[in-house]
Amino acid sequence: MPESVVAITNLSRRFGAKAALNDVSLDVPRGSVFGLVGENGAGKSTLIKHILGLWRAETGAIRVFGVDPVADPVSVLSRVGYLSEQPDLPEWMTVIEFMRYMQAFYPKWDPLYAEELRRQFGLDRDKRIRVLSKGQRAKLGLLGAQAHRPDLLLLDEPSSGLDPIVRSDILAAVIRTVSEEGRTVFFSSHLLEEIERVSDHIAMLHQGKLVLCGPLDEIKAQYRRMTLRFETQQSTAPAVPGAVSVRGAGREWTIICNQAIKPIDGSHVIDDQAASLNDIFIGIAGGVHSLA
Amino acid sequence: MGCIPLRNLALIRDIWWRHRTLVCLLIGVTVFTSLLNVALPESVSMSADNPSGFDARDAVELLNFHLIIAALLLFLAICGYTEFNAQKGSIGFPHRLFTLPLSSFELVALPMFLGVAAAELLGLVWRTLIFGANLNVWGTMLIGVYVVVYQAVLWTLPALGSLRMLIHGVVGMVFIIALGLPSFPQETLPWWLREGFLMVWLLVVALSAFFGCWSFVAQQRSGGGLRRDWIRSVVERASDVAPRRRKDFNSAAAAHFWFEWRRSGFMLPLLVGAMLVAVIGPLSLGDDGGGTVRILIAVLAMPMVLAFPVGKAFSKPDLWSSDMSVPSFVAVRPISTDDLVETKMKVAAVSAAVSWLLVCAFIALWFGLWASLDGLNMIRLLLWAVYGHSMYPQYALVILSLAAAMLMTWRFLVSSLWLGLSGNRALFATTAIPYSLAPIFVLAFAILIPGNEDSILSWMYRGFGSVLPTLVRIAAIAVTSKLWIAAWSWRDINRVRVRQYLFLWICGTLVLVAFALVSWAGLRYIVPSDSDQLRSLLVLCALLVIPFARLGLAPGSLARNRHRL
Repeated sequence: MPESVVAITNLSRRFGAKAALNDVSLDVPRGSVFGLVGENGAGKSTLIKHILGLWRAETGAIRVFGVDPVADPVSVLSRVGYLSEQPDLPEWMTVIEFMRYMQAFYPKWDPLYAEELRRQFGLDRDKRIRVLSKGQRAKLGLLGAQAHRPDLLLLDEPSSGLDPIVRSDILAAVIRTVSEEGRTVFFSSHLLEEIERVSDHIAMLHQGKLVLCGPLDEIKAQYRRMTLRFETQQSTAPAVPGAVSVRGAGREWTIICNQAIKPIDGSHVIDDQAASLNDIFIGIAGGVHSLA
Repeated sequence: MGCIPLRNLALIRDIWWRHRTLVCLLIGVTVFTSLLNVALPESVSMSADNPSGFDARDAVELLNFHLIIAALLLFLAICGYTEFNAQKGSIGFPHRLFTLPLSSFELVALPMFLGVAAAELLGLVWRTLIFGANLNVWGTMLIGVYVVVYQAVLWTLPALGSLRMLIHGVVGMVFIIALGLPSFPQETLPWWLREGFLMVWLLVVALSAFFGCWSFVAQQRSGGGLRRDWIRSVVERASDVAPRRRKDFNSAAAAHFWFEWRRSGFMLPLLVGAMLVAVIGPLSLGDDGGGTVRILIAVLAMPMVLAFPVGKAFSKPDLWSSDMSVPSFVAVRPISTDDLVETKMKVAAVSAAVSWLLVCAFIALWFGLWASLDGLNMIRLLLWAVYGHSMYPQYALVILSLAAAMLMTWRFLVSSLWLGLSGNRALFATTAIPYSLAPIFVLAFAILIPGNEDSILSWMYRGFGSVLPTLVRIAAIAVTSKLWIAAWSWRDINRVRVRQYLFLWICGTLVLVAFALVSWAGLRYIVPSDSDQLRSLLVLCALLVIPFARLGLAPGSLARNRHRL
């Protein structure tokens, strides 16, 4: 079993009455691209802030490279690259000043790689950050997070709100990072196609609870999407043992299940295929829905 | 047309709803002050029955002064009808109002009219109920025009951000000076400073501000225009002129020092330089020798006075942000909280040093080129007599004064770090409470003073000898407490760092002790008190000046903020 870069055990965090994270435990294997999915407010950003040491665990424990990120932030953060949804970059700096500033903090900063990324992203070195577009800022943030070749790259919804071209740039950079150097990426998004395309492991948060965690292939192989046709109209969603979600109306119902289900009396299967990540996500987050 | 008043009422309701707490506070302060001034003369009228009774007028005036400042600040906060525009990243006229079915003229004119009316009403209440003064046409006009200019600056210059405060300060000073102009004999003033012309001039200023503001808001409402781009481009060009970093940094500490300096360190030298050029310089040029000492005192006090408010902002994780949490850009950098605090302290030291360099350069130029030094020579003569007919103590006093003033400036910049870096807004706000309560304590002090003296100041002078032993005991307890708390607050900090700061603290404190001793050598002839106890008090105060315990608490405060402990 590969060594864990991030090990989270029974992590909980409350904000007032709301449980932002509820008894979350997960391990991020070294060299993996770990996708974290969940609806808005599921706790993805809170979890990433705990990994960065920006929040202390109320209960439970977090170890990043075997170290508590709150107790020893310098040793953890020097090995981590972080890009948030809205990069909080100092607008008064120029691109080159930003690169020089970042370089000073990371002994492993690779100036040639940084310059290559700058050119690749089309960033003018003398432009101030405040005049950069949202996409350019995201690229600059990614440059800052990547150019010291961190052991762990943390991306918190990096492509949210960006156009497809910028998004593909970011994805390409992530893939290159992993494929070329075998480092670890922890990546949160609610763009499921993106996660599905890039990740080899995923975890799913729903209302602060970890509802799914494991290798993507295993999860996709485990979940099925079946459509049942009933002989009579169903006014309410039929009770299907083993289903995580039942959606539909009238005589046709679509079921997402994580095991083979037994045929229900009065129905027959008209479609059976591997569930997509989107199906699984909507199934788990959405539960039972009647479209009638 | 019949619904226009209703639409206007909706805007008035919006303004009221946003500021209702402040309006209630303002009314509360005004009513409290009015009642106090009506009731207080009766309750402290012992002077009427007792011919030698003390006069508490000084204290009442001081209290009134603080309350009027509080009322003024509340009023300006209410008039500052602005909102953050996320799209433009600036604070200006509330853009959400652009969708209301009101013309741009109404959007601008109504809040301005309400502001002017409220200012006049407030001025009337303060003048008649509290100060018992007569109505003054000139003052009434000035107040109204100031409100128009104040709001126009807020709404038309959003690109300048916090720099608008500087403009408000300069405009405010001009208006305060203008307030006194009619008291001069009119025939001695040039025609353009006489009351009749000034009233026309005020009208022009008010109309220009209003029309400029109306035009700007209308442009913003229709998607902006040349004017907005012009201001932004000027600001951007000005910031582009600032020298850029051309070389790599040697270390993370050096990089963060640069970051902190560019973010907040330059602020104090900039303000000191601006005050020297815009205010002190012209004053000194117009001085014929009579005001040299006063101007010199103002120049020497200015960096410390400015360091106090700047220090409050400097102590926050980000000087320019109202959010007191550590910016995530800084929080995720691999740098320890101890290093972050040390960087702040170093930046504060450089900021204080550069500010004093500017002051010294100005004084050197002023004294060398255009100052009239007659008034200073009298003081030098007095010092020469007091210090045993020797010049050397004077030189020591000048050098030690400068060093002490520099240390005090640094102290004001860093003394609130432990509060500001904590990210605890409520705790940070409590630091203002002692200043707001001070007048009440002064009033209580005035009422409870034993003995019957002519005035508080004369009592303080004559009675200083009797309270000196108590002051010495209080200072001794404060010093002991400081050292105990320091030992506790520095317990978790790296030993090397403790030794380094202890060395600096001892050096700085020795300078202050030397300053206290040299000052004592002269003061003992002036202040009627026990000479040894006076020396003890001065030395103990010198030990209290440079923060020790509080700085030991700063890394812990920052760590709690950074990790949301």
